Order: sequence, then structure tokens, then C-alpha cells
Amino acid sequence: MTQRLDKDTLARAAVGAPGPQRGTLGRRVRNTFTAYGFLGPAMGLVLLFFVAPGILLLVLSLTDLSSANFSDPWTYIGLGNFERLFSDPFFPKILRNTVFYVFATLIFFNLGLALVLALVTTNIPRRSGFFFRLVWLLPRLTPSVVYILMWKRIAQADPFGIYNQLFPEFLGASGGNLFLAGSPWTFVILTNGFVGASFGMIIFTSALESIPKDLITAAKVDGANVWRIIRDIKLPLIKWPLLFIATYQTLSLLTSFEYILLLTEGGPGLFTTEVWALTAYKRAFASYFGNSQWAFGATWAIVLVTVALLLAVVYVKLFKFNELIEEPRIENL
Amino acid sequence: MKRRNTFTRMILLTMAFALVAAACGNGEVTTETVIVEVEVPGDTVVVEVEVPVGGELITIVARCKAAPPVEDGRCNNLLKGVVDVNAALEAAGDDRRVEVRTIQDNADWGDYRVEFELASDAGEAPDIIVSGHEDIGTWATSGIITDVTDLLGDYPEFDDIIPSLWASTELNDRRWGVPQDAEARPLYYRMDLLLELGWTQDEVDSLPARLASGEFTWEDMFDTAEEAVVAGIVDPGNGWWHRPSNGPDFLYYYFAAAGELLDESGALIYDTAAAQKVYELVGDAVARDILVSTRLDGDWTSWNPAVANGDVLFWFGGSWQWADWAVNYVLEGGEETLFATTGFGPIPALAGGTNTPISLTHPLLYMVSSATEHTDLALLVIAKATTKELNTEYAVASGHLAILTSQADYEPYTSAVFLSQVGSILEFTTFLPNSPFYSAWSEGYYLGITAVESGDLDPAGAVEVVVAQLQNELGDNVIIK
Amino acid sequence: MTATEIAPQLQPAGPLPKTREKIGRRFAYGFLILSITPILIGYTWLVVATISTRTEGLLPRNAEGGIGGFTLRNWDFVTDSAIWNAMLNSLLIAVAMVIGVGIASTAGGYALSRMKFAGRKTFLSMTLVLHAFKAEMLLIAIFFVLRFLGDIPIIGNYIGFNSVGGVALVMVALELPLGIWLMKGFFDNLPWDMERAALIDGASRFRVWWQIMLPQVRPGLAALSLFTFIAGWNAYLVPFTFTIGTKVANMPVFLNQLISDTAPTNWNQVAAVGMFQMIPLLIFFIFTQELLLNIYAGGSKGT
Repeated sequence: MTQRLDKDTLARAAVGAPGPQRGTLGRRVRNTFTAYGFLGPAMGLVLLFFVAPGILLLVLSLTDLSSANFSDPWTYIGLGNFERLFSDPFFPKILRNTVFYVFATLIFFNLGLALVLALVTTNIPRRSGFFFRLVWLLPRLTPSVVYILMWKRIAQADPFGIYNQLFPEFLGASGGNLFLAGSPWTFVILTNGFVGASFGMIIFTSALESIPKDLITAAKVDGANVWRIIRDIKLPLIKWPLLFIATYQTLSLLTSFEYILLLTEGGPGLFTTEVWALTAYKRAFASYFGNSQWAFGATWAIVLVTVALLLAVVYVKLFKFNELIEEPRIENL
Repeated sequence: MKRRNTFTRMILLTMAFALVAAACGNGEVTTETVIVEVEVPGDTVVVEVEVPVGGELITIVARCKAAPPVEDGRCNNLLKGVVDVNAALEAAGDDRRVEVRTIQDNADWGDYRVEFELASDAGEAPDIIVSGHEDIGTWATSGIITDVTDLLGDYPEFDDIIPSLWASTELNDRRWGVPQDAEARPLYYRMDLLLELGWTQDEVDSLPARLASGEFTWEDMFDTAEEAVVAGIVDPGNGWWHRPSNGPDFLYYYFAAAGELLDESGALIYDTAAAQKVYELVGDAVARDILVSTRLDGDWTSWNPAVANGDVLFWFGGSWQWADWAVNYVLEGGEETLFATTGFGPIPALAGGTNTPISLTHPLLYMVSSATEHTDLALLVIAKATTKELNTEYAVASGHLAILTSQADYEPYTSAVFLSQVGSILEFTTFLPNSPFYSAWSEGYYLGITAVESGDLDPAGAVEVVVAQLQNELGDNVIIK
Repeated sequence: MTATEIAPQLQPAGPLPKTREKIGRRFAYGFLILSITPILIGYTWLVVATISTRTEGLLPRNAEGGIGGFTLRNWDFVTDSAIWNAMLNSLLIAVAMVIGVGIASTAGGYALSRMKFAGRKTFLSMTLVLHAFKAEMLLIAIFFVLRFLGDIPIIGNYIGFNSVGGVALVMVALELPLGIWLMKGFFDNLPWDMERAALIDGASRFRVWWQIMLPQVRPGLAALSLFTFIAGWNAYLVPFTFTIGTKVANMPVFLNQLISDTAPTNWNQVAAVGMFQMIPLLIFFIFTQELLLNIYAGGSKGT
């Protein structure tokens, strides 16, 4: 049984009495040790499942490991895999697809729609806004297989398709399969966006709700319309969450592929909706007749991870995230 | 506190009893009986295993991919054979006894293969795995399955296997597995639609024979399909269908176009002329409106009801689909309706190619992991599952063909009308190659088909892209011809 | 002073604000309803599909093609022991994740929020940057790590390849970057007076963390736990890749193996199993809405 803190301590805490400031070297070293003690579990796991695999991935990309020699020791082949990657006839197409997919989904949904949803749901009565945000969270709870199944059913050809049944004469309905005959990209972005938007929506909502009401009231008094209030007051005040979401979601989208895999497998036709992360996965894990090319898959992955890392560093510098990281208030006592 | 004491005492007492019982038991009981009960939907297999004193109970783990319930026999037959296995061991004076555990699911083939590779590397491999014969190419090369060539002779059951099937188990003149099933991949056609198109009953009835003789060609099939579309008997795009996703089927197009696949050294060949012919063929089908350009949408959900209910005139399918259509898709009358409306025969001869009918068989094999400590027992378990009784039960339920010569006059098999009729197609059959590079080859080749069908490329352009792709993927391991 | 008090004094010219507001509100509702239509349609289909033989559009169809064909056959799987086994595995993975992520994130988040030490800034930026390494990209490399862990004597069997422990460990690690970031945000929002007093009084950091700080971040921790639980419950790729067959399968793996590339798939059964998998989450969802929607409140107030 641990002893409860005595009343004295709590009393002093309430007054906020400053403690003596003694910053000896020994104390600082000890503080650092304590800090790493707290960080220990997290650091151990990060080392095991991020750092080590990252290094392994790099090593793997320099070998020719595949199903056909999986039990052999890895054979070093230099930069052969990288040469192969960059001379792949579909490399430019996959690159273009990836850029398009990431930024279209980000701008229209994960950032754009998320912001619009947050703005609109905070401008209507609280309970209603809450309800709509809750519905928007549903896709996030749904097992991916079932979620994609719903979209496939919506888009499917007659007589199974829901869209074709509900709006037989409307926009794009031809009786055929919408996402294949029509535009696969629309569906790829929709499926990802409907899950992705809720993350930003929640963060923006809580940021918007924490804006002092007086500011808005004052602006209204000055005759500012809704649009000006959003542009001049709300947006500048939620700058950090916006930048955070932009960064976080760019990285998320760049390395995600599960919904595309389930929806189009990169097709239809010739790598139409194939993105980089999907290629990396397919090379290593999912070829129809077996013989996975572990090393080549790792090469696609390591290039992507490197690009993502660089992007992250650029974002951190560009958006000055370091300013976000305030100095801890209790450093030494 | 008191409660815990009582609990501790109870445990101690139980342990003491167990000890005493074990001590007494040693002298008196000669065998211990282990009852292994396996439940599968609609079927419970109960196996009693008696282990003699000093003997050892060995667990053989088998991994299967099977679609329940029709293909359950793939794994269950191993379980059902256990009684015979133990009887054989007893008769041979062997003190070991076997129980079989199965791991069955219906994952994607790609994932299933990866799982076995990762498991083998991590030392968690099952003793027996059932997979497509073409996996030998990769798995034998990487050494994760056992070369059984010299061991097969110890099990007389294997002598009953149809000789031609053994070809699918071979790599470098060694055998790496035992055939588990075989199937036919026929051309199906709607007889009622052909009659509607103006064919006489005689013409319809003689179609299988004309297909087998090569008189009715692939080109004729396309012409007929076009007529049907023009006449409005089927919707545009529904004259001729292939499967909606990649699979072994597409290889016989290449064979039909006189494509060569393997040279003497075992290297893979990409015959540009043959490939271009295949691409022209599917491009032609789309252009003539007998095939929808989105047919490779991977969507079996709309594929199956469409072909089962007369929306499509000709289609390439598999023998295992017949029972499924009859049970799950035909709206009325089940298999009877299917027999009345749907005919089948070998894939028609491609006049512009080899001009002979063709088909493809893709046997699954039982393979033995090289990590197993009991190769002999694993093979014994496989042998006892390779009987005409067990295999027929499986074949009839799942729409697969006989793999044993003795099934030819085994009544339960011969009374399965569809199987005995469709079996004649085996005369024209071909196999996939057992090469570790086939996977990359196939994906490159298939790329061309998707590109031409979707209209992304013309056939010549597709060949160019595929050649670039194959050279990049396989380097020296592919010969471009 | 509030807006309503001021309003009567300052009537701006132009259209009446009431009308304008009404139009604006109508427009807002219209937009929101339109935006959730696909979600509602999807769920409507899901519910219909689980209780019918087959569907065309949103309509259930019977064998003759008319409307009808309702059945409970899709739910037969609830008598199959495999699904309960899968559910148990799902629960194990999710609970292990909640505990693991909870401990590591609150401890790590506390250190990052309250202590000054060499490498603090690096680690903080890293929590954001680590997002570049998603599980999907590292799968094959993580396999080798797990294989290595599996070779450790005694405990290897519980944390290596093909074990629930190994899967949980990987999943915990992958959720950590976000968890630490969020918990740090929650700690940042706490006043430090009480903690400081305790420290001056000679309490150890650990005790301060455990007795003073943890109770105060409980809402944040609860929200993080919920999201971690959802992530664990729905985890597919990691459990699927690092386990064999359905023996250690969790719910999503069980669900996926009903779908086959060769054999016919009973999509209505898939829908039912998917629904079944969602039921515990939906129950959670109903009782914890406030928490779910407030999870990021801490993390976003970084300024």
C-alpha cells in the first residue's frame, strides 16, 4: 500500500508555492535518467518495431530475397533492385497516381470536407451538430471489408447496384458498374475520404469550440458576415490543427492502400488506380501464383518511406512545429 | 483467506490423486485412448486413437484452403483416413500412433502461399500443405517442401493415381507431391439461346462433338456470339465471357495461339506472336461487342448469376462451378434446368493458332513440409486419404474429376452424370508450368489482356509493354521470342 | 454581454438577419444530410443484407425475384465455435493494446510534457515523423523481428510469429506515435501547481505521475483507450500476416476468409459477420459518444 500524500503538500500545491531552484549537473543527469525511465516502454517498442524494421528494410532492399530462396541466407546484389524500380515501365504512372491520390483525397476530404463539416456542425444547434459528427464516425468503426462491400454494392451493375436502382436516370447511371465503367478514381477517393474526413473533423471541431465566444460576438457587432468571421477569425485561430492534420494525413495517405486493395486492386486495366504503397505490398505479399519478391517489395517500401520521411521533415520545418513544442514547465527543482 | 486455503488444498489433493492414479495405471492399463473429434459444418469426424504403452502419439498438422462445405473433403479426408493409418501402423508393429489436426480456411491463394512461406521460415510450418501444383516451382527451389520421389513406392495407394497427373508434380525429374484433385475447364454454352438463334436441335446436340473434332472453332464461336448480340438474343457484351479475374485459364489462350512456354533448359518463353494473337482475340471480342470491356472487374457476384441464368451465350468456366450454379444460382429446377439449358465441351480450336481444341487442368497436390520430423507418417496419412471411396466423395461434392484409375468404374463416381461427361475434356488438357518464374510471367502476360480489354493499349502496344515489364522483372530468366 | 442583448440596438441594414440565418441553417442541414447519405445508404443495405437471401439494390429478393426472402440463415455462424474463438482473440488483442498503449503513452507523454532532458525535441518530432512508417510498409521486416523474438527461450512462444502476444506487441508499437502525441497534449493542459508541490515535498516522479497526474488525465486516457480498442478490434493486416490459418484469427481475419477468389462467396453471410463484429463497437459507440468525439481535444491544443 502506498502512502497518500499528506494534506500539507496538497495545501502548498493549491497556493502554488515555488520550490527552490537547484539545477546541479547531477540532478540534471538524474532527471534525464528518470525521463528515459518513463519513456522506456515506448522507446523499447519503437526500437523493436520501427527502427529495427526500418534498418532491416534497407538491408533487404539490397538483396534478392524472394519465395524461391527464402530459406537461403540473403544474397547482396547491390543497387539492382533500385535500378529495376526506376526502370519499371509503370513507375511514372504509379508515381503520378500516388501524388494525385494523396492530394486529391487530402484537399477534398481529409482537410477540405473535414474543415467544412467542423464549421457547419459547430454553427447549428449543439445536439444536431453532434449527431452528424457521430454518423460521420461510423465508417471508421466499420470493418474495412464490410465498408468496401457497401461501396461496391452502391456502385455495382444492375440489378445489384444501389445507385443504379435509386437514380436510374441520374448522373452517370448507365446500368453498368459505376466505379469500373465510370471513374474508378472517384470511388477510390470517396471510400478513403469518407473514413479520412472524420479525423480532421473531430480535431477542428474541438479547436473551433475552444475559440472564445466574445471574439465572434464582437465581429458580428462590427457587421462581419459568416464568411468573414470564418476567414478572419476562425481559420487563423485553428492554424495549428490545420497544419497538423495536413502533415499527419499526407503521411497517412501516402502509406495507405488497404481500401484500394479491397476496391480495385489497382485496376481496372493498366495500373489505373495503383498507388505506390499498394505496389510495395503486392510485390512482397500478394501475387496470384505465389513467388513473392520480398526484396523488391522492400525496395518499393524503403523508397516510399524515405520520401515520406523527407516530407515529414519538410513539413515540420515549414510549419515550424518546433514552436508547438513548448518547454516543460517543471524542469528542475 | 480461508477460501484460498480450501482452493489450494483442493488442487493439491487433485494432484496427489493424479499421481497415485498414474502410478497404479502404469502396471495395469496397456493402452490409452485419445478421442479426437473434429467438427465441420454438416459433418463430424470422430476418431479414436489407441496408443500402446511406450508408444508415441504424433500429431500431423495439415493446412488446406477449401471452400466450405463442398470442398471440405480436401482436409477431412486426411482426418477420415486416420483409422486406417493407425491400423496400418499396428499391423506393421510400429508403436507410433497418429492424430491429424487440420487448419482450413478459404483465404486468397496469394495470401495462403505467403503464409506457408513465412511459417516455414519461422519454424511453424504444418506437416502437410495442399496447394496448386505450380507452387512446386518456388517451394522446391527454396527447399521448403520434401522431395518424395523415392518414398512414393512404399505406399501402394499411390499406384492407383492416373499416370498423366504425375506430370504436374514434377520439377527437374523429381516428384514433390501427390495429386489431390483435378478439374476440367470447359466451354459452356446456352442451348436454348442457340436454338433461339436459329440453330437446329441437331446442330446444338452435335456441338460437343464438333468442338472436340475442331470443326467448330474459336472464330466460329465469336461469329455466333456476334450474331446473337446483333439479333438481340443476348445483351451487347454478353456474347462470350471469361472469368472476371486472373487465373490459370488465360494460359490456354496462349497455348491455343501456338505459344511456346518452356524451352529445354526450363527457362520461360514469352512468344510475342502468340501473345499478340491472344491480345488481338480479346480486343476483337470487345470491339465486336461480344465481351464487355469491364469483364475483368473481379466481381464473381454478378458473374455467376448471369451465366447460370442465360444472360450469356458462351463462357469459359470450370467444372467445380457446375454444382454451385445448380445449388445456388439457377432460379428454378436446379441441376435439371442446367442440364436442359447448358452444354459444355472443350475450349474450341483457334484456327489462327494450333487449330486443335484445348483445356487446362490445375491439380492441387498434397505436399510434405521439409520441416516435418515425420515424413513417412505424413505420407501415410496422405496415402490413406487417397482412396477411391474418400476421393469420390470429395470429387462429387466439389465438382472435381477423378484422380484414381479405379474411379473409372466405381459406381458412385460414374453415376455423377456431369463429372463423367465433362471428364472427356481431359483428352485436350494442358498444365501450368512448374517454374519459380511463372508467377511474374503470368502477371506480365495478364497485364496485356487487361490493357487491351480496357482499351488502354492496342495489342501491339500491349506486347511492347509486357516485354518491357517481363525483362525488367525476370531479366535473363525469360526468353522473348 | 451576449449577442442577444446587443442585437436590438444594432440592426444592420439589408435583408432581415432572421431570414438570412434561416436560409443559412437550411443550407447547412441540406449539406449535412446530403453528406451522410452514402453512409446511411450503406448501412441500410448492410442491415437488409444480413436478414435476406440476396439483395438487388436496397431490396431483398426471394428465389422468384419478388421482394422478400427474409431469412436468419446468415446468422447461423453464431453457433460455430470458431467465431467465438475469433472474438476471444479480437478481445485479447484489443485489450492487450489498450493496456500496452495506455501505459506506454501515459508514461511517455508525461515525460515529454513535464521533463527536460537531452533528446526530448527529437523524440517529439519523431512521434510525428514515425507516422511515415506504417505497418503496411514494414510488414516483411517486422516478420524478421518477430521471428527473432520467437527464438527467445521460454517467452518466445508467446510473443513470436503466430502468437496473439506477438500480434498485440506489434499493434501496440504501431499505435504509439499517435498515443504519445495525444497524451502529451492532455498533460500539457493540466495545471502544474499540485504536481510541483508534491515534488518539492519529496515525492518521486513515479508517484506524482501515478497518484496526481493519472487521475487528472483520465478522460483523455479513456478516449485514447477507446480508439485503441477500435483499432485493435478491427486490426486485419497485422494479425493476418503474422498468424497461421484461423487458429489465432481475430474477427476481421475470420471475416476475410469467408471471401474467396475462387469459390462463391455468400455476401449476405459476410454482411452478417461484419455486423456481428461491429455490435460490440456500436454498443460502445452509443455509450461513449462524448468521449469519442472529444479525444483529440488535448492533442489539438498544442499552441
